[in-house]
Amino acid sequence: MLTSARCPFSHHPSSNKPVRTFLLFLGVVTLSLWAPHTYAQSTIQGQVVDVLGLPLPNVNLRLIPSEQGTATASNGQYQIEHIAPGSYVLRASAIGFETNERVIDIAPDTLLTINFVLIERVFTTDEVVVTGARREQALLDVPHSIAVLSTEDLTIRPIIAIDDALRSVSGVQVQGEQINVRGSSGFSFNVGSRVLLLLDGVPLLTPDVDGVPFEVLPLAQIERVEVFKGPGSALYGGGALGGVINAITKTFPASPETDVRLLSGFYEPSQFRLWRNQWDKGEERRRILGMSVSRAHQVNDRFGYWLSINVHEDQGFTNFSYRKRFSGYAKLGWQLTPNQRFDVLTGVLLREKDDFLFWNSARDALNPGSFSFTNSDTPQGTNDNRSDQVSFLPSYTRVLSSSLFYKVSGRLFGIFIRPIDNETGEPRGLNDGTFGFRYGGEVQVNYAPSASQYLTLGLTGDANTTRSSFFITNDGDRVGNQPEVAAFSQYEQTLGNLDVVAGLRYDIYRIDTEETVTKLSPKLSLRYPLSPTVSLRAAYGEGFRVPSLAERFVDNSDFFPLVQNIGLQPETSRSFEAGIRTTYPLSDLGMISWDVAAFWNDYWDLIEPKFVAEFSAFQFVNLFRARIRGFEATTTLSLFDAFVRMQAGYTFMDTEDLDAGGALPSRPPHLFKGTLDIGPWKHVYAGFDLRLASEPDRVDTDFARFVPDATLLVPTEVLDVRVGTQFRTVRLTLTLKNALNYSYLERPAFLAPPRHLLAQLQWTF
Amino acid sequence: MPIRLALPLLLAPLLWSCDGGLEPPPLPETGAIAVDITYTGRWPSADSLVDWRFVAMRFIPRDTSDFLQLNRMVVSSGLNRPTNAQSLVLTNVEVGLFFYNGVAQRFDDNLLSWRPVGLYEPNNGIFEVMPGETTFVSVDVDFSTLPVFPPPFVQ
Repeated sequence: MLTSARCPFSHHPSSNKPVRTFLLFLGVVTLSLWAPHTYAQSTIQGQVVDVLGLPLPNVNLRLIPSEQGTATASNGQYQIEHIAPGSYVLRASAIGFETNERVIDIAPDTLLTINFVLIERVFTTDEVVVTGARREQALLDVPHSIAVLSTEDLTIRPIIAIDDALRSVSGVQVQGEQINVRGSSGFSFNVGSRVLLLLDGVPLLTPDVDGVPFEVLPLAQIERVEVFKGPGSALYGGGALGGVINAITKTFPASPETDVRLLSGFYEPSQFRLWRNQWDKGEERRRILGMSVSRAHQVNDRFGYWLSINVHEDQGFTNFSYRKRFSGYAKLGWQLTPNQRFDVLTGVLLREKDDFLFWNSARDALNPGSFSFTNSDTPQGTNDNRSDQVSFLPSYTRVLSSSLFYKVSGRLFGIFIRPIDNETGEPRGLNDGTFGFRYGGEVQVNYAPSASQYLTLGLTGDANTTRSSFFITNDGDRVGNQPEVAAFSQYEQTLGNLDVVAGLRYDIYRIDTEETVTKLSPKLSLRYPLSPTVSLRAAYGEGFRVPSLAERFVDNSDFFPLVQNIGLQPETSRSFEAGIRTTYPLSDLGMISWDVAAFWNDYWDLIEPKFVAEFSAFQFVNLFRARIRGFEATTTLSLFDAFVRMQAGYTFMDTEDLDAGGALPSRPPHLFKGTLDIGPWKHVYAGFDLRLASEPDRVDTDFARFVPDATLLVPTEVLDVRVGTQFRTVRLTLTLKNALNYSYLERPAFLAPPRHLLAQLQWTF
Repeated sequence: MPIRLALPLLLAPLLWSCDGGLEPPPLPETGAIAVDITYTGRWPSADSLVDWRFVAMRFIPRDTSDFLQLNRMVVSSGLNRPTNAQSLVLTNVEVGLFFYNGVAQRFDDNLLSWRPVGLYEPNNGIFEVMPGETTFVSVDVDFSTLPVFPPPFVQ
């Protein structure tokens, strides 16, 4: 019953009593919806510690079913204020620890102290992820292959951008700035990514080339990164052909928290004198510097924030590979009422960089390629520009009941690229470059009618408008448009012991002034728990990727002759996966878990750049059908109360070009990732990452035609070693990357970084 | 106890035996090419002479994109134009067989707008560069009879 709201119509004169009565009723109903809820409010406070009594920071405390929550401060303490009387479940959760819950009854105007002790597990049955189903669920319940990088994973390695951290994930390759999940992508200079990047569930794709902007992400405020392996188009639409990477930002701590990180390091000169002698800076130790400052606080029960600023400079280990960037991000959150929340995530990135595209030859690997019969002073194997990006992501969430809530979100992503003038060294105008915006919104409704059912429904719309000096579009201007709308749904049902998930998404794309493309993407997943610690899973999904504006409209001869291809069709895929996931305690020693999965992916109309003799130029074309089959096995071991933590993952891929025969280019058949972390022991911890990959069976034929020695291939054998110490709130980590100074290629005709040392000092207070 | 068991695990990767990976390829054996070029007929217009070079290819090109296979060809610096004749020497040429050789013209700003204007014809157009030796090559450019491209035997 609505109470306490004063009715403005109570003394309103009227000659018509029924109308007056109706108006009175209407006024009461209306005001009850808008009037603030007033009640005697209570507070919950406490501390979260581990089994040794040490305080745990960044533990999420959430009051269910309301949206109120907070995160523990560096001393493990938390406080949630202005809680309405009622029954709740207070949940404490953190990656790497078992979730703990308490059922509580809140009386009016009371102060409750509730402390938690969380038990640490490297692989916990209650580890929570969101990417698989667009909602929180336990990792063991996800009927797909999914990997999680925790806050600790992101902190123990001095990471410059998220793609750096992804190198340690099984089945994932990083080639330049391009992410390859289970061989779904080759290498195409980051034009048209087949892996979708999300920030708190919001897709981030640059409007011009549909590339993945890893440097946009605010590293210091990322709580975890989820890697969904397999087509995610049924939930997330185009761009998720090969997988989805979702970076989840942190919640606001109850006490103000400031995090300062200083990064310093250098690349060793190349071990080969022949390469060093051909570059005037070949004998130098090339510098890496960075600094980030962030501050976060749940100011009161209504408002919280975090701010983050990052500066980074990398001189690069080859000629023409210098990078400098400044980025600033902010997240603001308002708890409007216990059931309504509004968040805004916004950021800006200013970046100047040289892009080393390919080497001059295998005997001159530190200099970019240059054609002797051109009159250009700039090597064709490089591309320097000033690239700025802005992002604005607002969202509104409303909980209607313990089983129903909806979320409305918007997104604005802008990019501005200006080439550097060779004579003045200054950025040229935007008319000589590219600027574009991707903007849109989404409504998602989550409904759980019973404990065994869950329904997710949504509508989304985006527009993509980009102007580039490299484009020629259908109507002859240099502005490309690609609006899109979609409806998606997912239904989850538990039938006995069997969990069934069925999803469907319908996308409509309009390509500039031309055709409309539609795509229906279904998915079906099954999960059957054989026991509380063993579960079987099977999944089927379809994915697609609409060609980017760049692939469709680029028409330029500044570097290589490129002509547009307006008739490009979307890439499509069909994927099957079956797997088993197990967790076993090892009596008093610890815990071991395995995840084994077999996958079969078919692709159609993959887009690749090819030379077309008819035009005497290169063109992005729908090339071929492809198949990638394989399996992946991952094991995680935790011993002696997590004093020793190991993880190893092996991925085998059998790739096939179904039209021309032979293997797909740039996909190594064998991948191995191994990680070991030990400690802390007397405030010291240590560890290593080992990455092994067999050499790809071949490289792209057309690329190899014009780039010298592009067919040279070597396996990858890289060891990163780290040691660190933590004393109170200060943490120092030294990492020797590529410790054995192994010389290899991350992509054809491009050397990977040689041995380099990074020192990171982190102070949290 | 845990640290005593963990240390060997930590040191294990240092026992990993691997080579150094990619290395610069060894310096190849080299020779030289001495080229004599003669021209007959009327030169093309100046605006179509964007570039003019002697090119020796280690393969037979299928289309104009093959002019970008720089790792499989030797290209001189720009040639004199217009002129009646020119001689030049290309040194430090990696030894081996060259299958398609002659004078090439770039006729507009497109990086791929090249065509042959005169070919080395003796021995079916093939010559070999030997270690430490100079191979002599003569090319007659007749502007009234330009070579067909792509070569008839690859069409």
